[in-house]
Amino acid sequence: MAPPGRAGIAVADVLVRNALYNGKDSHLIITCMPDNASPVRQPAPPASSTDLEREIADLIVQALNLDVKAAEITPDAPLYGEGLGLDSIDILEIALVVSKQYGIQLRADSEENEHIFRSLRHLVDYIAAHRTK
Amino acid sequence: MSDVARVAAALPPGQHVLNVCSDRYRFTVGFAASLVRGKVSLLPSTHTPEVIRQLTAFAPDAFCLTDDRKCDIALPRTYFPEMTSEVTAGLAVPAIDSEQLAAYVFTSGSTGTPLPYKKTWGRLLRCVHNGASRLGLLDGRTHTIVGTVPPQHMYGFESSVLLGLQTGSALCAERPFYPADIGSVLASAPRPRVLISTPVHLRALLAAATPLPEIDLIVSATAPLSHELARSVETAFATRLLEIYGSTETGQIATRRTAETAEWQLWPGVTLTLKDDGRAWAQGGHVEQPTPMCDVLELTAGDRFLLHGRMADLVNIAGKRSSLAYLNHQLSSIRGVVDGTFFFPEESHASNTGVTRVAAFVVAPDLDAATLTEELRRRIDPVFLPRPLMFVDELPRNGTGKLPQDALRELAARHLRPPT
Repeated sequence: MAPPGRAGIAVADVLVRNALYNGKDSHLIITCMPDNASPVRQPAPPASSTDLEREIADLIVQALNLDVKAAEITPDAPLYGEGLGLDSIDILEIALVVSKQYGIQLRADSEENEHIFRSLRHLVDYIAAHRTK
Repeated sequence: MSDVARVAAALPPGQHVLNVCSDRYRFTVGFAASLVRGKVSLLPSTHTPEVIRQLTAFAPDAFCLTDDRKCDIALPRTYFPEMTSEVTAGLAVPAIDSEQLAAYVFTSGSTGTPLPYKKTWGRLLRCVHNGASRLGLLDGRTHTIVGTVPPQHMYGFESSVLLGLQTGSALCAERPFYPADIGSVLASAPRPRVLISTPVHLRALLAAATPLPEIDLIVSATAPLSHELARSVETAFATRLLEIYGSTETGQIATRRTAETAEWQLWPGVTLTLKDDGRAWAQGGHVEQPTPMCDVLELTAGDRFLLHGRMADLVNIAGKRSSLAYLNHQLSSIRGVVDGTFFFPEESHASNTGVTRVAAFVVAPDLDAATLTEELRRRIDPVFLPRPLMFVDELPRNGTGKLPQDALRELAARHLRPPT
């Protein structure tokens, strides 16, 4: 796990102080925030990126009723056209479920748009970086 | 007009144009330029290598007009000239003869070859003029037309390109895809604004709960919208929704205000007649020739009818239409396929876009799924690629060689995963 940024440590400090003050046994949640932290608080990332990868692969298989198992989706294989062979209707469907699940609004003019669906791994990275839920 | 003149001058000698410009303005200018030069625009429903090959057989002098440098269509390619802001003064809007052949549209025939349908300029205009009237676009105001549909598809061609040319409405060049983009493109379009869209995108807009700016009219076509969905759209976006019904062969022939009624109202002059073959035939008005409709229609009173569903052989996926016979023909033409059939399941998988895919059974002991899919991809529109594609030892053909629906259903049940 990446070391917490300064903001992250500040949050952890506050939690520790509160825990001591309240005399409660709190769990310390060290929130990993990038240096240019957005005003929206980032939720704690899953323990490993492959958990998120599996979560998103599951989401795709469910949403599109695909005949493959989530575990069978090669993380680096193309999603659109070849590889998994998805088409634009599928992309729209994924955009909708991703929006509901992770709070991200996909836009065609974002620079990353060509890369987002380049592979499962690309999609996972994008979601991890931009999720608001 | 300057743009049209410049493009017209740049067009090669071939009589037939495959205009694949994705930018709506460029497509429109390209189409107008083709008309001015007396060329015929080809509008197939898809651009797979197989279809391109068939187009070449149909029109050997066909060339492709494109605005994409990465276009790889196997036809001589002409790139849309760079736009400049130069305006040549004094160019008159040319009069195009109403009998001039403006375009050929194509549908999937049961023999596996696309069938061409002539579209003459006068009839196209008459159809669109009636459409404009129905949609309330002839009120003297300049509307802005925003479409989520491509200009090459019959619906987009009539309801954005031709509608724009006919009514003097402003056409939005961009074709927004994601709900957030649809919202922002609409917001930047001056009012009154009209959204030309389809059930897939309307469902997506509702599912995404995208806040939209005020829209003066939403138009939907390519597949019927339910009364509930129409009401949801009208309420969510505080607007009116009109549906258009038509076909590639006949063009648009009817509208309805789905939130209020299930009945469609025909275009003036167009009549429907139920014939002995059980099909409703459309003729009159702008319709080029008596044409059988591919849906089950029930005539009610006067110029009204009800739509009961598609005819058994047809599939409509995300607004694209094909016939199972056509798809089966393409499947069987693949080397290594011993037997095969497409199959449209009755139950649909719940999804935000409401799209159910067509499945297929195939007997092909020496082929794998990847190879077969690749071969299909060369022939048919990707929206019809089977999902799932099921390899079987044999198809449940009966004594006369037919495939009864319930046998296929049973076979599917054995193969398809139970819903989780």
